[in-house]
Amino acid sequence: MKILALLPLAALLAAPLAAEDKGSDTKGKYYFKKNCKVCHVAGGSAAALTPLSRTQAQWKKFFDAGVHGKGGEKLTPKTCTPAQALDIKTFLMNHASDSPQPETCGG
Amino acid sequence: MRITRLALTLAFLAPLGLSAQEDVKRELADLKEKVAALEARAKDQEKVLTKVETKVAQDNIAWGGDLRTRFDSLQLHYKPYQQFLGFVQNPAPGASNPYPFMPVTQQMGAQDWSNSVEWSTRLRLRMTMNISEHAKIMGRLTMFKVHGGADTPVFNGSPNTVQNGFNDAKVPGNDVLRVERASFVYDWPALGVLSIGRQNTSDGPPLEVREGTERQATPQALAVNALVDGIGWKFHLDKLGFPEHSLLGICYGVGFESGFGGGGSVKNTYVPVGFNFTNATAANPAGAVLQVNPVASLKDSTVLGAMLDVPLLFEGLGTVHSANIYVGYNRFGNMTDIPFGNLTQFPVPAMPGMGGMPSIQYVTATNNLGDMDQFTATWKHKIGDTFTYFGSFGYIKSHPNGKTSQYGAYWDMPAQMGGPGYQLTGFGGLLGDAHQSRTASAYYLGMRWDPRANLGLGLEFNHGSPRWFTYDPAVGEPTDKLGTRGDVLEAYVSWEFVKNVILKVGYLDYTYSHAFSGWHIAPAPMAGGWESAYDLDRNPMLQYASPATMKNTYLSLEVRF
Ligand code: HEC
Repeated sequence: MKILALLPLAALLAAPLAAEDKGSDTKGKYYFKKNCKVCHVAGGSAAALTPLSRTQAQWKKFFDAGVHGKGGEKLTPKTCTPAQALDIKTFLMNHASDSPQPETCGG
Repeated sequence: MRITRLALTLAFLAPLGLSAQEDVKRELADLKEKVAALEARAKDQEKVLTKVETKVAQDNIAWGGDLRTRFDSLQLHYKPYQQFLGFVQNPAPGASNPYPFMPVTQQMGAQDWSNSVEWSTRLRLRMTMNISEHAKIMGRLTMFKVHGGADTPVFNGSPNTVQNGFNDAKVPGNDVLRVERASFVYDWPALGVLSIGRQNTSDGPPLEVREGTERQATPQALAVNALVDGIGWKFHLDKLGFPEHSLLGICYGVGFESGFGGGGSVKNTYVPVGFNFTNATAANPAGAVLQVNPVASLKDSTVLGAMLDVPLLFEGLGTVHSANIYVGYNRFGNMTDIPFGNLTQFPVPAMPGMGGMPSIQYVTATNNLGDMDQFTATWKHKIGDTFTYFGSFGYIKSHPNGKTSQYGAYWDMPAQMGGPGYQLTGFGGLLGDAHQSRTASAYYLGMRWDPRANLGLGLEFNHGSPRWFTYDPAVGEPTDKLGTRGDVLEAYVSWEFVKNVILKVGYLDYTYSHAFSGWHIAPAPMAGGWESAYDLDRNPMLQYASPATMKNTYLSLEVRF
């Protein structure tokens, strides 16, 4: 009986990871700080950016285009690797201004 | 402009003959029509423009929130206790009790009680209103409703806690949409952040771990999880070499406003609060006099707090880590006995010194009882995306001023029960001792494993010492987990089966060691030490029942937007 009850849970855990192209939120937070904020901070060489600067759709559009900066250069690999770009995209979209979890910076 | 052009055209055509005048008339009519059409179009455009402008104003309010419906199945067990009923005449005063009265109690056996399903729905609307680049208003409106007609809160495992504006968005109650947060926030990039109004003081760290959300509030959950009105200032510490987003915050708030309501707007007024038996003996029962006390001139209760926030983000062991250090200090000044608010099943004596009928009452403070220091510290660490753990610690120290709550019976005690100056009241003084400073502590540990992005399994444990108290009315359930005097174990599975739709199953197991969990006041014992007098294993004398264990199995469905 008890084992039976656990079966659905086991099935849930064993289910193959969905073939989603989702990156890592925590890694995204880290790489965003490391790779993007070097320029994108108040007083930096580019406009200050936080996840809240854009909506989810805007972030998606930006990463899908993959074009960055004034000269229309590619975002990768100049600023980050493609894997890092995916993590950063995940983080920025998870906490975009219209997301359920907007990044509030210390409440 | 158009009119001028028309006038010019007319002036130019004027010298022409009559037939030409016909043409002119026709053209004029044509032109008039065109002008009318243009004007109509311009008007239409204006309408569209106004609409666009309005839309922009609405866009300034960014909405978000969540809707949660939850089933709690509660099983409570009560150990034997002596139900305090009131006082009667002492038939044989003696050495142990020379007074002409004595308490009457009814021995109660162990009993079980259960509420198989308690269904609640909670709606929270989060608002952000951007005023300018640096200024915004942040708000949250909350309705937390028990299904059914119940308008009275049942939480803390006991139906005897007060519901008021401090906690009403945190405990299941009625269908009123309450303002949980409403504050004006101004961010000076170089200086810090100012926040005025109803603050972000609920669901603070580390409660976001079990909710699977971002951090929700400034103070730690073990410090306060309620609705606090005040002013806060946060200094950015980045420039001092601290990690990015490090903050030092100070805040000031008012918990009880004594000049508003509460006994009328006079400096002093007096009410009978009970009988004073100092001069009464068996030989002289007439020595008992009515005790009349001033109640109107209370001081405001305040909170002055400081907190340090240091977020850490680093690489190691083949992954990235996100960690937080939170340290907090609060000084609660002039704490009152009972806050403004209403409660149910509250045995406020119908007659001084006598047990009254349980009823729904609106109550107010009767005394300032002293101050309290509160320290909290939390470490939270997320490894990659899959594993999070935290440890939170709380410590409180009371500074009583010798006063007690004026609710209930009142008199000086015989020497063997504390002597003159000791008042025995139903609700007592700060942390159960109106005279001596007392301390209490608590800790809260937890971990969460997210094997997949949409699946989380968590395990938590918290413990509070016999006098532990915190401003945590409830943490999203009908019971007060972090205010528990005893142990609480919680396990849960959270499954986001559709994006932003979360199904959660959990189990909470409470073991209370002492009575009065959730209260910052408690009566002094009739005899012996406080800890043993109110130990639930030792048949304590209680004015109202306090459960010894409680098991809560819950299921919830939450939608976030
Ligand atoms: C070497 C400096 C530098 C780095 C590193 C950098 N950027 Fe930029 N970025 C710029 C400049 C310059 C611009 C154009 C001017 C501006 O917008 O301030 C820009 C523009 C942008 C814009 C606005 C352009 C648009 O189309 O809306 C976005 C969004 C952006 N960067 C994101 C990123 C992200 C994400 C990263 C990290 C992966 C990153 N940037 C790293 C310099 C940088």
